[in-house]
Amino acid sequence: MMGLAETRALEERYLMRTYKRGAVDFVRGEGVYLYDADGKEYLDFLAGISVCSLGHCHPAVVDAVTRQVQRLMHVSNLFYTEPMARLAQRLSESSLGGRVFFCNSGTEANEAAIKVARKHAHGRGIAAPEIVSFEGEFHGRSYGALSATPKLARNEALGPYLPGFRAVPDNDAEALRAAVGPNTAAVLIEPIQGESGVWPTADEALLAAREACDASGALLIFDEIQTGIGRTGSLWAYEQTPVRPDVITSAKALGNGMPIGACITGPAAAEALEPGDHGSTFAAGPIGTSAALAVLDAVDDPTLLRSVRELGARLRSGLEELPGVAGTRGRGLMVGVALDEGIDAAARGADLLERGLVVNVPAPGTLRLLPPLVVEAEQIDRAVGLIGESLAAS
Amino acid sequence: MSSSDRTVRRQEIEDSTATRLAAIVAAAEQAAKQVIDEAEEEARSRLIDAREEADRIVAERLAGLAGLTEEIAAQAEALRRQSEALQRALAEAKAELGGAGSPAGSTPIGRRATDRDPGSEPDPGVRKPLGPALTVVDSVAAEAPGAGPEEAGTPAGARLLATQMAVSGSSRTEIEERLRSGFAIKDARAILDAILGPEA
Repeated sequence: MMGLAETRALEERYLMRTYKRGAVDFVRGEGVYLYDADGKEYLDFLAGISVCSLGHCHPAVVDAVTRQVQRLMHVSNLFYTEPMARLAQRLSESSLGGRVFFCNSGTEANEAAIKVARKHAHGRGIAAPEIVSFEGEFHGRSYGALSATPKLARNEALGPYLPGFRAVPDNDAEALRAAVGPNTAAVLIEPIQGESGVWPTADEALLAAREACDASGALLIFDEIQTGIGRTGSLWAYEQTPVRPDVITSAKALGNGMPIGACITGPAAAEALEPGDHGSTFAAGPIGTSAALAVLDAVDDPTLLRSVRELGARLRSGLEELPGVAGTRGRGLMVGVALDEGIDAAARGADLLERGLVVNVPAPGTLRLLPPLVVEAEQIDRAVGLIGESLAAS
Repeated sequence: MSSSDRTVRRQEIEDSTATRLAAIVAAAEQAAKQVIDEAEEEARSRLIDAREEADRIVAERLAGLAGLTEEIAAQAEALRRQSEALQRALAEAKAELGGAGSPAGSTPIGRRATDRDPGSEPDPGVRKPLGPALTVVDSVAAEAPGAGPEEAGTPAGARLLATQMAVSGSSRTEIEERLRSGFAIKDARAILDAILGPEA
């Protein structure tokens, strides 16, 4: 087995320079723990950016994937497979009750949602449909999703972006109402902004979006790629908001490590896409959909979801006691930690990795914690202790 | 026996045989006619029975269909009434939502200390805080005399929030806390009782 130095040398020579990686090469994972090549144990409070929500190598997911791999790996969407159909039924019946389009990632799920919204708008006679979102949102890096991600869509070196996207200041209900008009195809919202530092969207803004969509005929789309699949203490984050969207997008934890995404509609948008409108070679494959069925079996459990809410409260309460923590944000086990002014969050993130705690620094002054949903109280307390030690050393 | 005697005897036998054959044929014909008559009678009887059975089955089916039609009509009427009730509820909810924004007596979302002065260009890097965003709109309660003050004044969004949280498995305490933080509803008993039933 190669060590970190050799792996790093290969990465630097052969991979495109799109990521800044932490100085560790993980070789094994089990539950909430990761292990590097030297056997050092790390408490994983990032879970692959909210992907491994059932922990690493969850036995039910491993079993489902293993059994499926041994039976059938891929046939394409030109044929029927049972896991695909069962997963679509399960996702629809657990949320908006419409139809499902499967894909391979979150950005693809948002691409599908954008396509649904534009097709739906054309059906209403809109020739140049627009999609409105808030400034701080992140919807992905393919060109449609990127164009709906205002802060990233300013890099002129990657332009031109897709036309038909508008952004309004975060949580500004009046600006949102003003931006939604007769040409609006959809309002695309993260119920909790994840990549920009865990910022829950205010109830008033969500209500304004719902009201504006109802008035104009536009669709309300919730990007639940990070918030969905139990992360906030309910299967979907919208269940803890005062609105019900027309479309939701899901990915990340849906496959607990297997790449799978889904665009799920309610009845209003269920018939928007027709044969030939959209497609994917790998999507809805039996391995990913079997993994997702195992994930839903485990996550869609009231006891687990209650634990997520209770442990999230315990985590935030513990963090808020620490010197150096200005406050916390989030819901369930999706937690943003605002550090006191002057504390270098990036340095704390690196220090915590050294101490054996994996966290993320999505924005200056902010740590993001996304532990597996199966984390236990003792592990929460241990993470809080490590963060306290790191802040004390800063 | 002389030759003439034998001729007479043969003639007598032939006559007697002809008579007996005629009697046998007549008896056979009579028996055959009786069999045919009995068969025809049996057939007529069975036909009548079959027609009566068919008529009975048709009458039964028609009666069943009539009952089913009445049941469907009753269900359609019930659906129509439910639809009207839903439309009324939606209209009320819309009216409440329309009045729940900041201009009509609710508390607007404040800005953080770092925010710019009102009127300046919005700074995309600055966010509004997440305190209680909405309050009960008094005017809605005033417009609905006779209804309980809490229920009448609760924004539709708060009711949907509470309903969705209840369906997703949140506890009474969790929903109450969320209504307090999101909608500044201090006493959520009425809405919680309406959704979860009275507290034990």
